[in-house]
Amino acid sequence: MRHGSRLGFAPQALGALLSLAIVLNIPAASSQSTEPTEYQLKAAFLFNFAKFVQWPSTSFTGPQSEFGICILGQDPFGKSIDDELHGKTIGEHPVTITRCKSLTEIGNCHIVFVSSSESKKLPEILATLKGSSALAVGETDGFAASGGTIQFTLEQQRVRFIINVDAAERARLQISSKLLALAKIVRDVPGNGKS
Amino acid sequence: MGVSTKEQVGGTRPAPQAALFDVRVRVSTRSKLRSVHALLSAVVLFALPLVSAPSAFPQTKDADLTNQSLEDLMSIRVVSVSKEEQKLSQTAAAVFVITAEDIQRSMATNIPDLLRMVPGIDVAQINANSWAIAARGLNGRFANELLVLLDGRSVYTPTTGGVFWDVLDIPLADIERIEVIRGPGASIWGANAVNGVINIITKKASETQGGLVDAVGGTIDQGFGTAQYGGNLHNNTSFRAFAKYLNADHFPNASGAEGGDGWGLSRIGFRTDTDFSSTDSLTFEGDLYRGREGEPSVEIVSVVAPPLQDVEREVNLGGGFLEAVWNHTSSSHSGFSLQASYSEYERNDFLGETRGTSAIAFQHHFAWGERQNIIWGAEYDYSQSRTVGSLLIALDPPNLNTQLFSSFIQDEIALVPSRAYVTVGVRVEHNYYTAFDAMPTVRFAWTPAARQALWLAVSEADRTPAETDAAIRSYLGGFTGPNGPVALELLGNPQFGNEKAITYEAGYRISLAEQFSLDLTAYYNSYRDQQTTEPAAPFFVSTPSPPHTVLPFVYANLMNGESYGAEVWANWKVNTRWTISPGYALEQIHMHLNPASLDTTSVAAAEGSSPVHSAQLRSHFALARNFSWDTSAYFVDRLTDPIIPSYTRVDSGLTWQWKNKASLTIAGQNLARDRHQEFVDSTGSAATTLVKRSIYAEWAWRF
Repeated sequence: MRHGSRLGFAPQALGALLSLAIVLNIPAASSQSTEPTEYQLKAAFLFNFAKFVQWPSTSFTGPQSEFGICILGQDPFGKSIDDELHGKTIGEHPVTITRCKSLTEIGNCHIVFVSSSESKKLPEILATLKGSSALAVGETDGFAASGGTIQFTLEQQRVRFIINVDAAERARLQISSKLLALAKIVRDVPGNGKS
Repeated sequence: MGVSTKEQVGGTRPAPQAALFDVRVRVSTRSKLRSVHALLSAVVLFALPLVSAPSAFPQTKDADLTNQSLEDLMSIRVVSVSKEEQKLSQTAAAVFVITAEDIQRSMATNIPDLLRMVPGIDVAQINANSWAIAARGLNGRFANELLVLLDGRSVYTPTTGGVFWDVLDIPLADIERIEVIRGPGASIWGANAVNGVINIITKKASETQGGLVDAVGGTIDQGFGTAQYGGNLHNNTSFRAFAKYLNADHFPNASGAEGGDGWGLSRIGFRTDTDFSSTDSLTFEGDLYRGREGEPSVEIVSVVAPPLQDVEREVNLGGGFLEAVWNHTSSSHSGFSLQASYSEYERNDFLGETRGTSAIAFQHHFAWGERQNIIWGAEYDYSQSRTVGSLLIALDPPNLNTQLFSSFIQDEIALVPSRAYVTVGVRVEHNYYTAFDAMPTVRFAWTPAARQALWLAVSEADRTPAETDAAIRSYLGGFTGPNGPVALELLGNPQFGNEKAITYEAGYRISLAEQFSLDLTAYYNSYRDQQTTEPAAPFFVSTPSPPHTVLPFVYANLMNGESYGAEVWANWKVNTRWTISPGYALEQIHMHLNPASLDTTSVAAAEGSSPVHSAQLRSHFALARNFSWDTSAYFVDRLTDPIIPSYTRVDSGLTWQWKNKASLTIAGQNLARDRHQEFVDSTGSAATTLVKRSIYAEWAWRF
């Protein structure tokens, strides 16, 4: 014997669901904040690193000279970092964003973000940065252990960072204790090509 | 093997008859109207967000981010493309990733239903606990051209080459992502991966911390519960342990009676991850399960008469596995992993098999010079099987131990760094039946711009014989001849050779900002030495009694052919609240017999067991006040062998999320149509029942 649709109320249930959806879709004030993308978030972190790190005075040509953030390699940020940091200043230094394709262009950078596309050239890059006061930020595995200063990681979908205090010292950067407290601290791995 | 099913819905169109089949399905015009109704409902469900979406939504308040404190920034959850996914977007293969977010938004409660969203994967539910799943055609309950891996461990059974999807019942909340690769993955993954690889990756224990209780109750999924707890042991070890219980209702059979396919399963499992240093980590995982399922099938009691009886067998299921993985990172571009596992299962179904498999695998990847990345690996599997057998299916010999040696090497060469890559690879395997086998692949990937990729690939993939190909004894039917009883039997062929396929593929991927991404793939497969069933000379036997003449049908490799098709899917963030993901797949299969062949069924079965057209559409709508609304619709074109009319499936669900602590979902599945048929298994081992409309409520609580 054929039974009729066992869930005869299904069409009505469907109608109820639809009405509920319309009713609920009255925009509430700001309950649905959009989720920032990973790189929008990391751009904000770069700005914060700049706020909580002190560069030696020799790294600025004047009191209002530019604060340079350079992206080395394939740019994962896109337009978002320009939008976010447009018009911002670190102290009195206006922030500028430069995309660098090669190592020769990173002379005036205070923060050098090393894209994961450059992961194979890491030893070369860090050797070039040696002696300068650039803050080297990366996100590939082993970046901090290899001598980079700050490495982004993702834990449970939240951005975290590792700081290599030896690298910071070599670059004559003074990192605020506030930033250090929130970071995972590592030191240079012995015998890692440190000259 | 004969299966007899009848469904009367009015109107008559008799099916073509194959020598041993007698399947008649009558298609009605009423079912066509139902499909239209289904499509209309789907359109309404999808169009509604257009009507109700507020016009302009403010973009991300970028200024807010830089004004937020570090602590606030560190508490924001990011839904990001993982490094692996980023790499996959540049991979020269047809990859579709089912993310944890896709799983959360889907109304699926098991892995087969999750796979429906992938264009090119054919998912057909046979009854409440059996599915026929294949990639790019050639579907059947034991479709054997698809490799399924769970955290690197293959979960297909070497007995048939197929997968028991019912016992792949892991908590969906623990899945990090499912990488579905359509096309020959044999060079990287192994010989069973002729048409696809499904790689299920679970979350690390550190990603599933805290308590989770998930309870589902509904009309089909009568009771479903998962309880899980994750925490940290001293030092650098995180763990999780879970217990999961499932009780699923039966479906109705064609005449409306209970299908006898209800089932229940209990499982406990764990995972631990230990980071010894920044370079070494060790993972342990394992589980144990026990269950029972009703398996409606046919039974053959005697060689003579009456040959086929419908029976509802109660099958006991049991099994488990234990796996250890050691990952070592030597540098930012080299490392290796060593993996060892043991898994076991038993099912007292028509075959009554117990199988235990030990596997050990090593993989090493390193950069060679400036432009090359090399991955190579080696694996050894040892598997032992004991079977009882029945007249329906038995193996001769019933017990068998097999070894598999497998190794592969792949070299990715940067022709133009970051722009153009050529990958060459080969896998060499030694299996129990056909000794050495080499499967090469050449792939080319070109990234003309940052978010565009074009790729081409040529690969050879082989399906090596499974135990059933060489050793099956299956009784198909019988009659009384002039000299006494005659039995028709399907016999395996110990000399059965590899089925070969050469696949040519091309693909294109583009993503525009975060808003839109599109993926296109086209392929052409040339098949050789596909399985056929050939009549052979009769012989006389005295067991099983009564003494009878056997008319044997033996497996051979006498079918060739080609298939071609395309898959396209897109992800479109229409606005900040609404995302839709459409997909479409085309599969055309043409097979022909070698002139020496006398087969009568294999061509039709290969051409007709998967739909020519299939389409998917998923919609996610974030409503106000922490509600979200998800809808998915799937269209599956008709099958010609078995004869199944086309159908549209619509699932929809409303979810309320309270912070990160609790969520409540009310969802309906198969809303468009109360009952429909999706597949008929030609082996007779699982009778078909009708997939029916269902509703469930799910409550999840984290603490």
